[in-house]
Amino acid sequence: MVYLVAAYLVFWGLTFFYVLYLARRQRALEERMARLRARLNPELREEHDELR
Amino acid sequence: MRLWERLWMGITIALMVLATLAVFVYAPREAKMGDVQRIFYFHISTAWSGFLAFAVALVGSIAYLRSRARRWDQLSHAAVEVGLVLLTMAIITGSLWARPVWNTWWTWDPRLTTTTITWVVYLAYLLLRNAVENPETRSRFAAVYAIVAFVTVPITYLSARLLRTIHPIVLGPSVSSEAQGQFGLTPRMVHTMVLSLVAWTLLFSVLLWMRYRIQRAQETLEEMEAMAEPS
Amino acid sequence: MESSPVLRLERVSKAFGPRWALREVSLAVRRGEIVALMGPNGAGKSTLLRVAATLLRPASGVVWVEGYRWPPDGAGVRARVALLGHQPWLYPDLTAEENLRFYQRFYGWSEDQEALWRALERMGLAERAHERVRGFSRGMLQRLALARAFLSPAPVLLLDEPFTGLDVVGLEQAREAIRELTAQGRAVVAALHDPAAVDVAHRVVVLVGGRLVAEGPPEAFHERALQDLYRTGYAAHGLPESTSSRKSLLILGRPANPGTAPGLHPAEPAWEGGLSPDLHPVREAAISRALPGETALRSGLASVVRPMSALLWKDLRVEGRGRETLAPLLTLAGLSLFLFGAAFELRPDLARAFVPVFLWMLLLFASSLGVGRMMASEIDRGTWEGLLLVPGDRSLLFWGKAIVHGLLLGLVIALSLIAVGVFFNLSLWDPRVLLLLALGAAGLAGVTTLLAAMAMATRARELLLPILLFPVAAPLLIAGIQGIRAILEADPSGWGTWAQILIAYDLLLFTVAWLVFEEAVSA
Repeated sequence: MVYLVAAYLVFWGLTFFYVLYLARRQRALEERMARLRARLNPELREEHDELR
Repeated sequence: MRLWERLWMGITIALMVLATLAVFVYAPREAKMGDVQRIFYFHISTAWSGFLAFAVALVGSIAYLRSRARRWDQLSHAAVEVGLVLLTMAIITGSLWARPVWNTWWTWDPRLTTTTITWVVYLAYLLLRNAVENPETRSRFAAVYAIVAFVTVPITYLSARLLRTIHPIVLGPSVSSEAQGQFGLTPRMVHTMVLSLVAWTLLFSVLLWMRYRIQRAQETLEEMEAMAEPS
Repeated sequence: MESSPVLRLERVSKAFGPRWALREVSLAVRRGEIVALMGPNGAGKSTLLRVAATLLRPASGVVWVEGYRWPPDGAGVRARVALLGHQPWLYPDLTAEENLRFYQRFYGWSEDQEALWRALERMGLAERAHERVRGFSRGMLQRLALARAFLSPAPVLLLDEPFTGLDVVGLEQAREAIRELTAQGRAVVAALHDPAAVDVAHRVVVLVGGRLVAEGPPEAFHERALQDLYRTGYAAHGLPESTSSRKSLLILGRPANPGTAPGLHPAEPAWEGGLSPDLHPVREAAISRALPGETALRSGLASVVRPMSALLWKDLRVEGRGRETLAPLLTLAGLSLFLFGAAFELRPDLARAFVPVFLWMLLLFASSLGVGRMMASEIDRGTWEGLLLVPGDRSLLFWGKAIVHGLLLGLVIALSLIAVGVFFNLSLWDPRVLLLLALGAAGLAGVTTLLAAMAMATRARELLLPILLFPVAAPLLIAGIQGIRAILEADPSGWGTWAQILIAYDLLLFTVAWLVFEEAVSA
C-alpha cells in the first residue's frame, strides 16, 4: 500500500511540479516581454513595429 | 487562453481525476499482488505517452530537416522534454512496483533496460542542444540525433530481449516479467486501463502544447531583443 | 565580349540566430571580371563568400553558378567554385607539395604535376615544396593556400582576404596570378579590407550591415569615401547620420537616391548594368582549355573512389607522421587491459566471462576517444571546411572517414587480442570472434563518425561524444559481448543470432547515417 501511494504521489507530484515549472517560465517570459516593450515604447514604437 | 484551449484543458483535468478515481475505486483488487497492482494503470499510460512523445520528436525532426521551419524544431524540443518527464514517472513507478512484487528495485529486464536507455538517449539530446550556441546548428544537430537515436531503440529492445531468452539465467531465480507479476485482466481493469490511457494521452498533448508555446515565445522574444539591442 | 554572368546571387539572405548577416544581396559576376568586396568588419563579406561556396545555406535567395542553383544543388555549385577561406586548410604534417597533391586528387582536379609545380613556383614556394607545412609562417601558409586556389579549374574563384600576411613580393605574385586567371576567363570575387589593394579589381561592391550599399569602379572608393560609407552605411550624402544602428538599419532599407555622391551609385541588381570598360578581353580558347570543369564531375566510380582514396592516403600519412591518435590510443588500450588483469586477477573461467566485456568497453572508449580526436583535429585545423567543399555528394566524406576510423578500431582490436592472449591466456583468434568484432567495429566507426562530426563542433566536445554515442551503441555492446561469450562457452547456436543483430544494426545505422550526414555537416 505504501508503494501504491508513493507511486501515485510520483505521478501527480511530478505532473504538478512540471506544470508549475512551465507556468514559471511562462511568467518569466511575459516579464521579459514587458521589459522589452517598455524599453522600446517611449520613442521607438514605430521602428519596433517596422522591424517586426 | 482561448476557448478551445480552456475546453481542452478542462476535459483533460476531468479525465485525469476520473481515471484516478477509477484506479482506486472502480478497478477491482488484484488477487495475487493486492493493491500494488493499481500502479500498473498509470505506469503503462505514462510509458506509452512517453514513447508517443519521442515519436512526435522523430516526426518533428524529419520535418525540420526537410522544411527548415523552426516550429518543427520547437515541437521536437518540447516533445523530448515532456517525454522525459513522462518516462521518468514510468521508470520510478515501475521500480516502486517491482520492489514488493519482484522483491528488488531493479532488474535487467529488457523492457526496463530499453526504457532506461531511451531515457538516457533523450537526456543526451537535451545536453547536445545545450552545447551548441548557434540556433540553426543546434536545431540541425538535434534533429539528426533524434532520428539516429530513435532508430536504435527497437534494436536495443530486440537485443535486450534476446539477452534474456537466449542466455540461461545463472544467478538466482527467474526475474523476467513474464515469470512474476503476471495477471489476467478483468473487464473493469480493461475499462480503467483505457480510461487512463486516454487521460494521459490528453495530458501529454496539453503539456506538449504548453511547452511548445513557451519555446516559441522564448525564441521570438530572443529574436526581438537582439533586434532592439544596439549592435 | 558580352556574356551572361557565371556567378549570380539573387536576393540572398542569411541570419545567424536572430541577427542578419546578409540581407537580400544580389550580385552578378561575369567571366574575366574581378570584383572586390569591401565593407567594415562584420559586414557579411565572408558570409557572402561562404554562402556562394555552399559552406552556408542561405535563409532565402539563391546562388547560380553556370546554371547550377544553390540551394538545393550544393554539389553542382561546389564543383564550379573554389574558395580561399580565412584558414589556409593545410595539413601541418604534409609537405607543401603533398598538400596540393591531396587537394588535386580529393577535389577531382586533373592530377597534373606540371600545373602543381607551376602553382608552387608562381607563389614562390618551389624551393620549400618538400618541407612540411608545420614550419611555415603565416605568410607562407597564405601563399600555399593561394596556390591551391589558383590550381583549381573552377570558373569562379572566391577569395576571402587573399592578401593577408603577404609581403610585397608575394602580394605582387598573387595579384599577377589573379589577373592571369581572369584573362583566362575566370571570375574572381575577393573580400578585401585594404583600400590600397582594390585597384586589382574591375569593380568594387560595398557591403554594410549585410546589405549591398554601393558599387562602382575602384577609383571611386578611396579611403575617405569608404570611411563615409562605413560610417553612414549608405552611399548618398545628405542623409542624417544615425546614432543607433537600429535607425541605420531602417535607412538602409529605403530606396536609393542615385547621383548625390559623384562616382558612387547605390547597388542595383548588377547583371543589368554594363561591364567595366577596362575589363580584360576574354579569350574563348583559353576558357575551354583552362576550364576542364567536367573533370571535376567525372561520373561513375572514379568520382567516388578518387576522393575517398585521397582521404585515406592523407589520413594515414598525417597519422603516420603526427602520431596524434593511433599511438596514444594503442598505448591506452594495452594499458587498460593490463590494469584490468592486474586488478581483477581473474580465474580462467571468470576470464572467459569478463574479457569480452573488457574488450567491448575498450572498443567503445577507443571509438569515442580516437574518432573524436581525429575529427576534432580536422575541425580545429579548419581543414574540415576544406573537406566539405568536395565536389559532389558529401556523404562520400562520411564513407571515407568511416573507413579510416574503422581501420583505426581494427588496429585497436588486433593489439587488444594480442594483449588478451598474453595477460589472460585466452586466445580469441577465432574467425567467428573476429567476424563479430569486425561487425562491431564497422558499426561503431559509422555511428561515431556521424556523431563526432556534430559533437566536435560543440562546446562540450570530448565529453559530449560518449554521452551521445554510448546509449546509441548499446545494442552493439550487448550483442558483441554475448556473441563472444557464446563462442567461448561453446554454445554454437548462440553466436549466429548475435551476429545477425550486429549486421542488422550496421545496415540500419549506416543507412540512416548516410542519409542524414549531409544534414549534419552542412550549415
